[in-house]
Amino acid sequence: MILYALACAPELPEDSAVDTAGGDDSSVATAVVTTTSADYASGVLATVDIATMAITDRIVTAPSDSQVLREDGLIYVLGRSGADLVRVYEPGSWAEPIQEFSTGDASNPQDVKECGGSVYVALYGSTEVKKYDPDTWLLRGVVDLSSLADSDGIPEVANMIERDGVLYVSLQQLDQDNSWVANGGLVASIDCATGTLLQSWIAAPNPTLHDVPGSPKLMVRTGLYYQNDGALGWFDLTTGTEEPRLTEAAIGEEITDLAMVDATHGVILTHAENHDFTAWCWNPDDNALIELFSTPSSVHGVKAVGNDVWIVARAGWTQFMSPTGLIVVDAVACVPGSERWTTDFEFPPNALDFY
Amino acid sequence: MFFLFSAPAAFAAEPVADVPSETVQVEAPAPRGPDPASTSAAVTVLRADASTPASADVASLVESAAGTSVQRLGGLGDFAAVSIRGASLRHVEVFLDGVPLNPDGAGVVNLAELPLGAFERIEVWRGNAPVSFGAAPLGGVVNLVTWQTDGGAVSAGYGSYQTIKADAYGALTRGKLDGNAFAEVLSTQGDYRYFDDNATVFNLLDDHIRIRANNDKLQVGGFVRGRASLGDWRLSLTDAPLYRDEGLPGSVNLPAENARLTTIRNLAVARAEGHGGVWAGSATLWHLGRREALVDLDGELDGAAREETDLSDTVGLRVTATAAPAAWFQPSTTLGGHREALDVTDTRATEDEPARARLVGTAAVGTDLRFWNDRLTLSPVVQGVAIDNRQLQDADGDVFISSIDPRLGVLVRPTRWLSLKANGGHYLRAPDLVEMFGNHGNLEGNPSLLPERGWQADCGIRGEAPRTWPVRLTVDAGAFWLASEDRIVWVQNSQQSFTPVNFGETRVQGVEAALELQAFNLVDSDTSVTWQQSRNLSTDSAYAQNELPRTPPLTISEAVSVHWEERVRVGYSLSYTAANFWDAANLYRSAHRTLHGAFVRAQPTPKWPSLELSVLNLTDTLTEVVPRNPADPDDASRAVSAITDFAGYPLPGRTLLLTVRWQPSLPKEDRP
Repeated sequence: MILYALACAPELPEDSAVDTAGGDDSSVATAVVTTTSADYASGVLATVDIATMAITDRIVTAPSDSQVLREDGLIYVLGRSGADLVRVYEPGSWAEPIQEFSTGDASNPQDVKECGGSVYVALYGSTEVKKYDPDTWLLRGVVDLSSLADSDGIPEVANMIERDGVLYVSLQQLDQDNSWVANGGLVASIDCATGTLLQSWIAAPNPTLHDVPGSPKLMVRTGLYYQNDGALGWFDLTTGTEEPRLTEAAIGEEITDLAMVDATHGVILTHAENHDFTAWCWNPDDNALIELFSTPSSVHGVKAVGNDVWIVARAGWTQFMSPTGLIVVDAVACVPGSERWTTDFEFPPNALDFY
Repeated sequence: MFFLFSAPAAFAAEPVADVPSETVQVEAPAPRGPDPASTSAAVTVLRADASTPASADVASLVESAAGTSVQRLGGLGDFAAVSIRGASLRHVEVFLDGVPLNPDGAGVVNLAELPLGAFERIEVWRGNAPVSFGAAPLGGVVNLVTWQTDGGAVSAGYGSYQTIKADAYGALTRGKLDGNAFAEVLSTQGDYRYFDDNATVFNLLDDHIRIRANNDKLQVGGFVRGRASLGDWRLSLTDAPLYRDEGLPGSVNLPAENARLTTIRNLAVARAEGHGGVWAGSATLWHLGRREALVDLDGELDGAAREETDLSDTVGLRVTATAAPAAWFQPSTTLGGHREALDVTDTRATEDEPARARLVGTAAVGTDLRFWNDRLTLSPVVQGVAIDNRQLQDADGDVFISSIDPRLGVLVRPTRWLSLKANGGHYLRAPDLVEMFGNHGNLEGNPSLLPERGWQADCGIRGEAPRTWPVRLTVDAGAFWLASEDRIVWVQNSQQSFTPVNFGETRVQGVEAALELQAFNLVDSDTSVTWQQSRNLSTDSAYAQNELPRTPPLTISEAVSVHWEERVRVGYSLSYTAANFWDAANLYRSAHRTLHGAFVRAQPTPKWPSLELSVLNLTDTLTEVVPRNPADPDDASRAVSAITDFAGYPLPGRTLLLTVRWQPSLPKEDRP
């Protein structure tokens, strides 16, 4: 059950399906946040004014385990396992989505990308990436990834990054029939124009891709849950090779998420054995780490905007009364202890993006 | 070892007024249940009699009592449990012939496992239950009393979804020995139609009707009992086995096509009952064993593949003694103790679950104090619970839990046709092993749960028409109030799995009324209405003053039938359950539902078999129109929603059952 929750709840380590592409839009003014009750029974949308940090809460209900993403000017709310749906909103018009569609029972949508005139939806519980027409929202086709499945018959598509008309997809290949052990890990590429699988590369176990603004490469995060066996490294899109930069063994903690604001400034989150979380500034060039803050709250779901990185904080694993909310840090200035908390949400935040 | 006592009945007290005493002698013919007019507690005695359709089950009969709310996961044979007066499901203790099936709230009893045909009556005690039930729970007691009548009967039925239901009863008396037995077989495919909105409340284009899959059941159960009378003593041995094999369909958005659960349960009871001049008593030794084998190799239920076996064992002893040293003074006590154990083995798990057990001791001491020719009866009770959790391994709570709680009942009977009642008391319930350590498909325990405590109070009035009238009319009405601390509530998370959590302070208050009418040996009618208001008293703004999950504000039950000398009987039933919230934040609300039922039965003569056609959900109601955004009262938009008690577990549409019943030797009113 816990492992299953890990596969669909981004507040837990190493499961972010969030496209952590950061710093790509300095004109954004608002954060849209999905918030979820502590028991994961209820969820709503909220917004935060970036300039004033004023919260508008409880705008409309949302699936209680949901992801929120901005893509091509629209806001997508993904109801993950149990809801298995996508709601598409015009930013600021929350009363009713412009479209809502199911992705199929137990399909567990994790990520959305607009690419080549189609909207692609990554499904963690399926062998397919579904392709929709953004005008009619009808299903245009599917990208069959069953040839990349592991022994449970599903490749576990975690997230997608778009570069030059190609979708790069991380496949975590966890065996759902056998306590979610790792059967490997792949990165695959999909041609957006044709919706066909181009090629795949073997990656370290349990990979997740992260965008790096200003870099031709991507960052790949790997490693099993609760083990310090993973690493952060560059992923070369032309050769499909990994270049590990920072290992969990070196830091002594599990790396749970990452957001890069540019090629040399990012924030990583780590999870210690005592269940405290720590945020660090990280420069992949020289591997320099600067500790920003540590907290018993469960922090995850980082997102970059400008030089800032926003971090979602929910109740800690051992300290249930630890603070919840959003934490903002400056990834470039990187001043330890300078984090800013916004805590006045009715429910703890679960995911966020900006518009 | 089990050599003592008891009698649930009170003692011979000379009635000095025109108020009839409920007094019976132990050796008198088997009592037909408590007299609601002569006890301070609110009690409804339900019987599966001629006015009950063959499609009824224990859950539907219990639901017809005022103050009750039944929650189901599906249709006939699917899981069903009862809440009384807004208390949590586990705060209702279910007894089978006085033996607790969930002692002190240990687990929710699945009413679908209990064959209605086995029971002569069902007593629903709301609030202050008698001392004979031991340390009473906050919600109340459902006591199922098996048939003890001579004779025999058989019935067989076939209906929708390939449902087969057959039962047989037989009894025999030889001198000082007697025995009886009952067996029921229930089989169904459970493949009913349901409405599926694809979880997309804004998108009506993908709404459709689907067929429930992997919802088949085979259940075989019953009891066999032997008794011997030895002077003032009577010894009995009872065994009640159950075998149940079922598909677990999962929620509609996470359907399970292959997950299965096989349950084997056995209740063995040895009881000695005796009486003397001024005393009566009983000792009951029981063993309740339950083995549940869950096979979910594809991890359909919660994502984790399982091949799990849960073994739970409860061994208990309960001693009840009652004395009547004076007509006005009738003390009684019940002492009980049991050991409950849970051993979970999952061949696919990477870590072994430790076996867990705990010891529970309970005591209840009380008396009836009768004054002014029984016009006033005071029933003070002190009850205690002590729990030793040392064998719970990794529980987060206290190792020892104990509580001594008072309660008091007051009954005033100014005339024989009028009773005025009031009750109040304090109660405690520790979280049970499933609540703490359950990990059973879509149930996941919470080792951090705190014990639930609470106050309960009620008052009521009961009036009966004079027996000389051609119309038998009984009116029962009351108000109740229930305040809990750390109430344990099962909430559904995003995957529609269930996890128990402690709420802080909560309150439920309401009124209930029941009207029973039998007119001119022609018409039978039972009506009950319950209105209740539940509130979460949390200071958290997300939950403050919210309704408690699955606590419907209004429930209405009506059953009316007309017959002509039992040769032909036509009946109609109505069940209304108001919309209620699934979640503590009150963002998701179930649809209200109004379900109609009907039956027609023909029996040329009492010696002939009867033939009955009964219909559940006569109007085939699958959906209701509901507010699309219940969190915003200003939002007038509407959505279509499936009829359901639990999110993702729709209830079935029209269900027919054709039944033939033959009871060659029983008088019709004693039909099991």
